[in-house]
Amino acid sequence: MAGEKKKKTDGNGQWEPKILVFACNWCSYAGADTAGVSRIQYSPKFRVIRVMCSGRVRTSYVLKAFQLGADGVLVSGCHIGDCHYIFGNHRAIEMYERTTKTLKVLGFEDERIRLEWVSAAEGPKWGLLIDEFVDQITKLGPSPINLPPALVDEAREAESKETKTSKTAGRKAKKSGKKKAKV
Amino acid sequence: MVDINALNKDTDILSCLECGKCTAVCPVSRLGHSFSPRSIMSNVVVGDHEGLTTDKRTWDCLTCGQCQPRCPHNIDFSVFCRKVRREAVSLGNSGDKSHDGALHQIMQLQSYENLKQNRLDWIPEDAKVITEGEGGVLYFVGCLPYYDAYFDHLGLDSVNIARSTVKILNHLGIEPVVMADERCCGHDLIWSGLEDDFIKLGRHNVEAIKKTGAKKIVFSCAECYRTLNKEYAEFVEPLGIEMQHMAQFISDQIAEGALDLKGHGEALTFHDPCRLGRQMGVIDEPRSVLSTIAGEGFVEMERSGKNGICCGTSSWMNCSMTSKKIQSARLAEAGATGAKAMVTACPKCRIHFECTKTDPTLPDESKVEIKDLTVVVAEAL
Repeated sequence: MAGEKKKKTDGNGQWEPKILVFACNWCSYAGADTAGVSRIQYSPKFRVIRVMCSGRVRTSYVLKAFQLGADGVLVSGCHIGDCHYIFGNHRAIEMYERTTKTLKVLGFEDERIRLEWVSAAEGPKWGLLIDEFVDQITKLGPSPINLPPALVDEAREAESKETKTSKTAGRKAKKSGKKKAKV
Repeated sequence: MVDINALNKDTDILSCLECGKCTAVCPVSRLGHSFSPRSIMSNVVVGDHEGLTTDKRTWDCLTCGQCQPRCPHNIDFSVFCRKVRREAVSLGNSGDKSHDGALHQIMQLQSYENLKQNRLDWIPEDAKVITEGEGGVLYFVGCLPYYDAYFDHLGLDSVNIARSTVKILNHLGIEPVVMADERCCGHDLIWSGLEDDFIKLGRHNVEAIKKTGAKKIVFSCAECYRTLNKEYAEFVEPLGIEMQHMAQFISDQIAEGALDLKGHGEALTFHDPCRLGRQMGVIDEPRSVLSTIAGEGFVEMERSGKNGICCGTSSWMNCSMTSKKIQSARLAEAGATGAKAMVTACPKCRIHFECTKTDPTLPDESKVEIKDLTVVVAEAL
């Protein structure tokens, strides 16, 4: 447990998100290289996997990442029309739509997955994108399946307080409202 | 290494006579090549079971159970495969998962306690459903919302099955409980060797079901029905609650005179899901329901009831050209009856057939409409 906690926090004891980035070989990975060569300063809090094409990233890869503890997944490929394999990024869009729909049912927030296009020349864009995504995930906090037990209790307590003070809590309130209307 | 003696206790595998009846009726052996239950079993009998856990062929079995009733020794080859697969997984081997294993991951992700799913979005405004609290009848929805999200391109509208089920129940004056925190029943995990994850899902569901205080559970999915009946009793704990598939429930209600369906006389045929027909013995009930609706128009396919052919893929494993051949052959059978629609009682059979229907080489007469039983009944209310 202690080891696990250490892994999840940075030097200051702050929680650090685990972010996985799939970057395509021809544009985005080269874009990341450009960012490095241009000495652009950006967040190091992500792990990148190079794939030959953003179209190769399947829904199962993203789900597997979440299953293995990722808090956010970013898929990056060539701009539409620039794909090295002509239509690969169109496949990536299909994958992205399917994945967001599936993750929504599973109860993951939409913001945990993102699809972006970064070309080999867009080093600064890559840096900004990563910074933005890291911020986004840090704000969201750990993924629903990653919450450490203490945080789960906290969240549950907060929720029960909310329902006690009858501050509407999303779906529950909607449902009970609906029921009343029916009766 | 597989413990053959333990396996023999459960499946009686060593009493195989090598008669080959299993291979003769096996749909995979008929249309595919290299798969033969007989040769797998005869290898075990002669003591050659070193490669059992690395053999990809044990993953080809559809676990449809055609072979067991024909076997002179009643050997349960499906359970044999299930147990061997479990060993194989523990050694790091696996079959080929369809969709790169995305559907298995959806199921495994559901085994995490913390998860808060949004699985009730399908409930229509006018439906009377208890989503929190207790109730007498529980409707176990299954993975329908996930299928719609994942198989969006097939235009399935699987949740219509759930909507229709609720509509039928409401029509009978029943307000069913639908659990917001229901998890996958785990059918596909146990049949693909992932027993630990299955048990996690099972424990969660059993606890959640007990909390609802339900006296009866109804299912619109044949696999959920079998799993909660059989596998939960074996691996988790017996629920001790009356369970009925919607086919049985509707047939009972018609027999009691509580449900009056409008007949339309259009020709319908019924595809028996393996889990419901052959394995749980629910064969006459869906037929009596469909006969009420279609009257004389209800027609049987060449192979039906206990001999009904499997839909070609099971637990999202090893979907191959053989699976497609089995499915095309089944669709051709349905087309040959001249039925307007092939009705089934398992959402997955429907997905597999709809997938095959996207094949451009499939003849037009095979492209029959595939409907779920609950949808057909809800339309006839």
